[in-house]
Parts: sequence; structure tokens; C-alpha cells
Amino acid sequence: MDRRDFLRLCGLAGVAVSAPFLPSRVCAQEGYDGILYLIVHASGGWDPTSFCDPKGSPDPDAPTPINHYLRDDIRSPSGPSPIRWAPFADNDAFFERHYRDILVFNGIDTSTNSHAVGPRHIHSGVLTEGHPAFAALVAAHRRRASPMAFITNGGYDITRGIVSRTRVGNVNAIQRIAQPDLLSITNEVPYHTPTTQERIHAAQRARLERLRDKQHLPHLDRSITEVVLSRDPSEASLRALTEYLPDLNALNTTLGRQGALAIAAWRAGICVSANLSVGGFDTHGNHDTNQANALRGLTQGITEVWNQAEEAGIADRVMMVVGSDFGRTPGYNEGNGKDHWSITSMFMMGAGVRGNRVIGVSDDTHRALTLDPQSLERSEGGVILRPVHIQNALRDAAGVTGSDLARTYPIANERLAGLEIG
Amino acid sequence: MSTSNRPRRREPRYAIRGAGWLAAAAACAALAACGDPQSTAEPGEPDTAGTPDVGVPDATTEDTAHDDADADAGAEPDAVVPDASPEACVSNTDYFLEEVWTPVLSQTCFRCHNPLGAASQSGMVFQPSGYHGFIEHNLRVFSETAAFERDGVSMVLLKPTAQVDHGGGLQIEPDSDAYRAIESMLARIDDPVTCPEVDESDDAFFDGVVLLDPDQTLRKASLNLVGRLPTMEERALAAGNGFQGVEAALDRALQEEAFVTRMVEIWGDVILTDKYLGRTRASDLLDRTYYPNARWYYDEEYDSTGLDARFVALGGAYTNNALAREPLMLVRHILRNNLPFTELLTADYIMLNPFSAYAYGIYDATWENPLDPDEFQPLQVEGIPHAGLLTSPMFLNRFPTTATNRNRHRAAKTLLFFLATDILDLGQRPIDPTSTVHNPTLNDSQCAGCHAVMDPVAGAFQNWESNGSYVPPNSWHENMRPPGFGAEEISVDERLQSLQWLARRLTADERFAVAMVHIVYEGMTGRAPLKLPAANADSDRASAAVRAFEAQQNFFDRAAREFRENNYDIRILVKAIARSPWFRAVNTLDAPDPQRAAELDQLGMGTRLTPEQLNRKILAVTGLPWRGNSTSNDYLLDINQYRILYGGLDYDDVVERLDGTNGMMFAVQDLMANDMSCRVTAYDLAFAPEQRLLFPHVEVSFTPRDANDFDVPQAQAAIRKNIQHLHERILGEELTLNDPEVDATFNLFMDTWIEGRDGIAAGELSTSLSSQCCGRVEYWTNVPFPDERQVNSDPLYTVRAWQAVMTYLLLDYRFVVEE
Repeated sequence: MDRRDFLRLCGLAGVAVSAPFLPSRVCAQEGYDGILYLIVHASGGWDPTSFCDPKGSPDPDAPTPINHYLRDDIRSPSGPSPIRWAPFADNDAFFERHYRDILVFNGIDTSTNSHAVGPRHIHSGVLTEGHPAFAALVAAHRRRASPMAFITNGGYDITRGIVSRTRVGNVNAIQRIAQPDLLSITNEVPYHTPTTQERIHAAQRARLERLRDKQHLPHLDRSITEVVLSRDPSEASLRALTEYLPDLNALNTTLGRQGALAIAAWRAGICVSANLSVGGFDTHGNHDTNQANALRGLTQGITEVWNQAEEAGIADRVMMVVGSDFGRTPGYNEGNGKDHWSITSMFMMGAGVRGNRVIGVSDDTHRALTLDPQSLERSEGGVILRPVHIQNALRDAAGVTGSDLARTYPIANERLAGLEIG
Repeated sequence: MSTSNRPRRREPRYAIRGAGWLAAAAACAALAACGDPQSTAEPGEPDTAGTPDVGVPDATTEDTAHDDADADAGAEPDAVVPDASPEACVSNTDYFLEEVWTPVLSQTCFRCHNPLGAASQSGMVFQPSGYHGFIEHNLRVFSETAAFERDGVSMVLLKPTAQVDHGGGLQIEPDSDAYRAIESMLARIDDPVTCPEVDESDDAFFDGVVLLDPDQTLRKASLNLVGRLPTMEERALAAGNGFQGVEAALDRALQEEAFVTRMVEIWGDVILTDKYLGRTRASDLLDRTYYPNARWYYDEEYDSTGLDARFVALGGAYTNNALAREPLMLVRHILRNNLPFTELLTADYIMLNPFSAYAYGIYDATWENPLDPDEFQPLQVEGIPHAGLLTSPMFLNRFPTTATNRNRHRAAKTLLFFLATDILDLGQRPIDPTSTVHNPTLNDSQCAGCHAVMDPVAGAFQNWESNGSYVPPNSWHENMRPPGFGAEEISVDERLQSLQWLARRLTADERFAVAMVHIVYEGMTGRAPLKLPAANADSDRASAAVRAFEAQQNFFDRAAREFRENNYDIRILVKAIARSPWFRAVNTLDAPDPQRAAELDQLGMGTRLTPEQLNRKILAVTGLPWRGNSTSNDYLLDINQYRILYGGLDYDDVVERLDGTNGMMFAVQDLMANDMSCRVTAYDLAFAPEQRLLFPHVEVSFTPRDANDFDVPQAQAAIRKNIQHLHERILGEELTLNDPEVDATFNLFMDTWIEGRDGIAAGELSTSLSSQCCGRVEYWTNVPFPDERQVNSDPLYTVRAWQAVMTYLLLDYRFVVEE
């Protein structure tokens, strides 16, 4: 069995009912240095018309405006670009800074108004339950055995057991568990001699192998395998992570702090993907104020993450995928809020993304319009852009399509021929 | 921590083979190396000594292993295997689910014949799986439609084959498998097949599945439900009376406060109101218009003249958290008083302590101790029509509403928690954003399916504002369905008590008991109830998953019925789950073929213990908690330590427990195993042998070889016997002395001891023990052990060899995961 087969088995363990036993050391892989996938979720359902799919009011006295800003005030970047944005929140600063790197998808039909369903549809491509998030899929495909292959801070983070989720509370606690062999970190006093510590771990690995050999129930078999994989030698990686972590208190945004941990874990070679999440978008009341606050948190946070990636010199290794539950109604309710609307937008930026583009279109009342599948231009009788199209493109770009995992969790083979991320 | 939860050390019960046949333990010459073992701020890091807990462990109850060294069991659980049953009877319902609904109707007809679909106005509207009992409903609808015939052929055959006008055209080919399945179903409707009810242990689904035996079940249930190992008396009950004995033992155990705490923990995960613990998070929620004293303890302008100064001084510490825990204190009240669990919704009172009562403006209640923050009692706030959790301000705030949401969020949670009905499941069907129907929640079939169920319940919350205040409105929204439950409207006379009205209907509904089964099952097992496979799952996997779903539904229905018939006694439900194969399955006799493996795919727990469970197990098994010192927070429960890293909740942003084990969690386990082995090994050895929990069969002087490197058979036998004991106590494994697992652990001990012995001889290793790893004082009292019993050094390297064994076992799969 060559190395490739080993890695494939490591990736499959826990999926296949009868995956062979995988000694921890066999599955220990060198540090991951592929693309870091950051999946950002604007929780609650953002309003694309206040952001990257602007719809202004034709005049100040329109009786039922879709937005309170005017159509004439819609912004475009200083350079040539199809990207437009709403004169809202901190959009100007954000888009002027990033528009060359951003690929926008507008007019996406999520087919739902449900908070339980929207994130799932956006981030897995499937409306119904049962599919792992893209972030989980790519983490399992690339490095299932890494101790922090998939970090989650919320959003749609269902894994279906193909990879473990890691959630971090107090990052200071990581510094202690990064050195579990030491009784005193200060004086570097170990609990056991290094030889004994290794003997204990070796005995445990052999013990797990014996337990697994006797276990026939698939779920318990997976449970043991998962424990085996979690025990890949990881303390050194965790120590490296703590060394890469910046002072989180010096960061200004929630996303910035979440991103800092993911970047540090990636630099330590143990992270493939991370869900970053920021809330406040479910603006049923007082929409303009609340949505603007939420959008500021989002755009400032993304910029703070991006700054860190650039400062670390790894911006060309980081891909960000940004989405939300769904959109918001084209107009205000009696509480000056906006309710749920099934048409939304997404955007991507970073590694492998050809920016300064817009794919998809919606009309003035924020209804999705059909596209020619090849040219992606507006076309009567074409197709409506849906999450499955974007997820298929993501799977293609990440090299997941055709993998055993992708076959285990297939999504509809609906593609827009012209839809390429890179 | 309550001292009552500590594992109790044993009375002397049996003789230990004489300790005089080897040289006495070396004197504790390195006493200076051993500091105060009470203190470590970080695991393994010294800190200042804490104030000792005043509790003294009882020395009364046996709680440990069989003394039978030759018990013939082996590493694999000595398990029960259900007898293979004769060919299974397939009822009409089961046939419909397996052969008609899942492979045929759900894939074809349901696309339109659903409450949101194009055929929602037809006479055949199926319900999705989010509704508990949807199979029975759909079979009934199918049967009613099947009764319509033309020329002797049923419409359920004519329509999908397009032999008569059908809006969906041809869906099923005549002479196809699907067609024949429907034909067979029609024959069954004419001549129904009913099957005798079977006990789940006889259910063919579990053929060949290895289940825990009574003793093992008792251990698992005791750790799970009351956080301790079973006592010898309880084990004797199980040994002598099988599962009747297990139930008898549990009957007693489930009366303990630890069980109440466990159930409160399970419900805390559901209603998430612990979000409001701390600071003024809960009292801030109470509207000062109606509760002007809500923050009396925090309000600088509040005039506390005339109040007991001690009461005022304690108010800051005790008011907010009492307000926050009020809904969970209702769970505790029900359990402590053995009330029917319907009280959860029908309680016409609110649970308050002296401090929170004051915040609610209740000044005249009588208290046993008005300064006791743990004294909660049921009280009524004037003018409030209490309805248990439904009217709890904490519950209402945790699941808030807005002007446009109109209590629908609350309604959806009510349906989910108390009727096992996931209204959002309907949202899995696509909606059409181009619809222009006026008032779509009422008139658009895409929306009306959900809202017909949800909106009447939402209307029942009409008197409760977004902040949980009771403020009946003048009228309810006319463009919504009227307040009620199902088709029944709340009469005008009862509008002011709308949630009491709703509570009576919810608890009278059969789905209430099923909902309780779901919650307790998930809490006990860490596994969500199974769902039917998605329509796009491949047929082999789907049919296997259907069978598993069906088996579990049958169990849930039986458990729910038993729960109802026993006056909604939650303990009855807990015992039903504990004795079920869903709790006890640990293996199969032989490796199953792929189809059978697919059926059994979700069977067995294999659940990593939650931080709370692992925390309790550490204490139960080793006798010591994992914390810095006797008064500090437990590491696994502390949100600033490992609670979140280890998959726990903060009840605010983090509201879903992580399943599985990741590398960070292993690092926590690794640290815990190293740290606890350091803390408990010398400590346990410092007790008299008959009082030890971990090392009753050995002394520090027991070396496996003598000074001339010859084996010492008696010592080796004692070491093996103690290893056997440790496997039983820590992992629940009953092994023979020559079991390969005992060999493996013995080899670990031996190799470590040899390494240490040689290292000391070569001057490379010290004879000292690190201060945290000594046995100098009793943990809870801080009273020093007698000098002759203190273990402060390790010149023979036996303590550290046992430490290695302890680390090995505390790190074990069977310690950190519940099989």
C-alpha cells in the first residue's frame, strides 16, 4: 500500500462501515500546507440589497421603498468593475479595499425562509438534512486526522461524522493542554519520564487496536477509530499553534479573533477549514440601524482576518466563502424591519478565486433572474442560480469532486458550465 | 461541591495478604520533596493551599469489585445476546413504512401531495417526517383514498399510473415494483395484518446484538444517572435478580439528589436558560414597570431600610441566579416531589427562593431559612396565570419574539420540545419566491402548511410580551389564524389564561409523552432520535435506515405509553431507556454483512462523555475531583478552562454539544490522565488497604522482582490482582488474572518499574515524588495521614509504576467514552 492509499484510508476512516484499523502513527501526516478554507456565516439572514446587490429607491418619496437610499446613490469602485454596492454601513471602505479580489454571486435562490434550513442549503448545497458542510467535507478530504482539521465557531457545521469539529473557548487553556506531559510547565517537570510516557501511549494504541478488532457495531467502530485519530501526536502542533497565536485582545472584531485562531492553527499545520460566524442580521425590527451594525461587524471582521493573513504572508493560501441564511424582504414591515426572503447573495475571495466579478442577477424587486448556463449572462429561459451550483463549483475548486467522500455525500449534479471560481 | 457525591471509602471487608513478607516500605526520607497535595492552580502547577472542605468521607459503603479472582469473563463484556426470534411478523404499518412510503410514496407522490405542494388541496395530503406519528397519519390518508375505486381498481393505482386524470401525470409504471407494492398494501388494508407486541429484547431487529448484562447495565446506568459506581448492595440485587434487580437498585438510586441534578442538566441543555446566570443577566429581563424590585440588590437608589442586613448583603450573590434558574428549579421540584412531569407545563406557580421572591414583589412567603439561596418553593405572582415553563420569563426571553415574528418562534419551540414536532422540517421543501399571494402565511399553500399548525399556538402566547411580561393585548392579529391548538380555538372567556389552556391540551396530547422520551433519550445517550433517510439516499442504505428508524420508533412508542400509564413518572421512563437495547448494545456476535451493518449503523452509544459526565466519573472512580485545590472549580466545568474545549456549552452562543473526539479533546484527556494519576496514586496508597479505592491489594513495598532480579511470585500475584481490580473499577471490565488485558497492563507496570529501578540505580532518576504526587494529607479535611502511612517518596519506584498504570487506564476508551 503506498502513501496515497494510506492517506485515503485515513480520510475514509469513520465513513466506511468496515474501514480497516488505522494505527495512529500510520495516519500521522505531515503538516497541512494547502489552502485554508474560511467559511464565514452572517447569521440570521443578511440583506444583500444593503450590501452587494444594491436596490435603491427610485425617488425619495416612493411609498414602499425597497431601501431608504436612492438608486442614484448606488456605488461602484474607482476602477473598472461590475461590482456594485449599497451606500450603507462601511461598504465603501470594504469594497474599495477588496473589490479586485471579490467574486460576488447575486440572485441565489435558497428556496427557504427557515433559519434551520438556509445555512444548510447555502453551505452544503442540499436543502434537506443529511449532508456535511463544505468545510467539513474539505477538511475530511484533506486531513481528517489533523487535531484541528475543522474548527467551528457556529454556522452550518454538521460533519456527519467524517471529521471531528473543534471548538475553542478560552485560547489560554490551549497553552496548558499543549503540554500535557508536563507537571510543571515553568520548570519543565514531566509527570512521567519520556520513555514511560511513550510506553503508555504505545500501550494505549495497542489497546485501542485490540478493542477495535473485537468491535462489529459500525457506530462503535467509528467511535474507536475517531479516538485513534484524535490521538495522532498533536502536542507539538498545539504548541506551535500557541506560538503563532497573536494577542487576541489586540484584535477588534469577533471575526478577527476567530480568524486568528484558524490562521494560527493552519500555520501549525493542523487546520484545513474553519467556520467563522457573526450574528445580528435577523433584523425584523429597525432594519437600517441593526443591519448596518451587523454589516460593519462582518466587513470590518473580514478585513481584520485578511490583514492578518497578509501580515503572515499567507493571503495567497486563504480562501474565504461568505454567505448567510437567506435574504430579507424587498421593503420594510411596520416595525421598520425586514423579514425573511429566500433570495440571497454570497461572495468569495482569496486563494483560487478570480475576483472583480459578479455572477447572477436579480431584478429591482430582488427576485432572482435566469442565467445562460454557459455565458452566465441574463437569459430568458435560462436557469436560476442556486446553492448547489456554487457548491459544485467549490467542490471542483477544492478537488473534492469525485472523491469517495463526495460520492458518499453527493449533491445534485447541476452545474453552470461557465461557473468557475478561479 | 456536596460531600454526599464523594465516593465513600470502604469499611475493612477482607484481609490483605500480609505485608510483612517483603521489606517494609522505605521511610519517607524525602519528605521535604512533598508539599501540600491540595494545591495546584493549573493541573500540575503549584499554587497556594486552598481552604479544606469540611466534609469527611463516610467509611461505610462497599462500592467496588468482586473479590473473585477467578471470575471468568474476559475483556469483552459478559453480555447478553437476545435469542434469535422466529420470522418476524410485519404489521400493516411496518409494511407501509418499509415498502410503500419510503421507496415509493415519499419519492413520488409526496412531492405534490404535501401540505405545501401542488396537490395540497387534493384529498390526499401526506405529512412529512417532522410530525411525530406521520406514518400512521399517512397510512390513514392513503387508506381513505384507496377506498375510492373505478371498475374495481383503487384510485391509488389508477392515479399515479395516469389511467385516470392525474395532475402529476404518470408517476408509477404499471407492472413495476412500486405498483406491486401498492397492490400488496391494498390487500393488507382489506385484510389487515396485526402483530403481537414484542418486548424489545425479543425484537428481531436486535438479533445477534450483544447487550450489557445486568451488572454492566447497572454500572453504566449508575454512572450515567447518578454519577457514581453502584454499591455492593445494588450489585447484589442485580446479581441475584437480573434486570428486576437492576430496576430495584435504580429505584433507590434515582431518589438521590444526584439524579435530580442530572435531569436538570439534561433539561438545561434543552431550554438553555442558564444563559442568564451571572451578573444581572436575569434580573435585567424583568420589566421594572411590573417588577420594580427586580434589581433591588443592585439598585443604588433602592431603599433597603428595614430589611435584614444579612439578606441585603446576600442579595447580590443570590437573586440573579435564582431568577435565572427558576425554570430548572421547576424540573427539580417535580423530581424531588415525584410529581407527574406534565407539571412542567401545568404548574400554576413559579419556583422562587427568598431573594428572587423579593424581586418578584413577594414579601410574605414563609421560609425555613430566609437566607438560604437553595430553598426554592412554588409561589404565585399576583395576577399571573402561571403555566409552568410556558410562562417562565426566562423561557420566554430565551425564545423571544418580535413584532413580525408574532410568537412563532415560541410556538415552534413549544411544538418541538413538548410535542416532538419539528415544524421547521417542513422548511426542507422549496418555496417559490415569485409567489404574489396576499398574506401568504394564511393563504399561500407554500406557507400555510407550517403556519396552520404553528400560528394558533403562537396566538396562545399573545398575552406575553417579548420581555416575558404578562400584558394581555386588546386584540390579536386578524390576519393570522386565531389562537388555539389545532382546529380548536381558545374561547374569549379563556383568552386571559391562554397558556394554561394550551398547557392542558399539550399535556393531554399523546405526543407530549413522546417528546419527553426524545429529550430524556438524547440526554442519556448523547444520540439524537433517528430520522428517516433523505429521499436521495440510495435504496439499500435507505431501507436499512428505515428498519432502524422503525425499531426505534417502536421502542419510543412503548416507552411513551409506559410513561403515560405511570402518571408521567420520569423515573419510569429513565428505567425503560436504561434497560433497552438502545442503551445496552455494545457489539454483535459476528461481523455483520453489509446490509445488516447498515441496519445497525446507528446502534450503540459510543458517546464521548460530556465534560460534566467525565468530571463526575473521575470523582466516582478515583475518589478525587480534577481541580486545582479542594475549593477551586473543576477544570472540566470551568468555562475558562476546558468546558468549551471539551465540547460543553455556555448556553448562550454555544448551545450544541460537540459529538466525537478531536485532537484538542485528546490533549485534555491526556493532561487529565497524567494529572489525576499523579494526584491519586500515592494518595490512595496512603490509606489503610481496606479503605483504598484503587490499590487494595498492594503496598508500595511490593516490587515484582527482588534485589537480585529474581521474580517475586507473591508480589507479582498481588500486582496482577490489583490490576484486575483497577480494570474493573475504572473500566468496568471483569477480567481473569491471566486475561491478555491484565498481561498488557502488567507488562506496562513491569517495564516502567524496571526503567525506574535501573534509573535510580544509575543515579538518573530521583527517589523523590513531586509534591503534587505525594500522599501526605487527607484531601477533603487537610488532616495529615499518620506518619507511617504517608507516601512522600518512591525509592522502589513502585508508586510511579502504578502512576503509569493509572494514566494508561484513565486515558482508556472505556473510561472517556460511554459504549
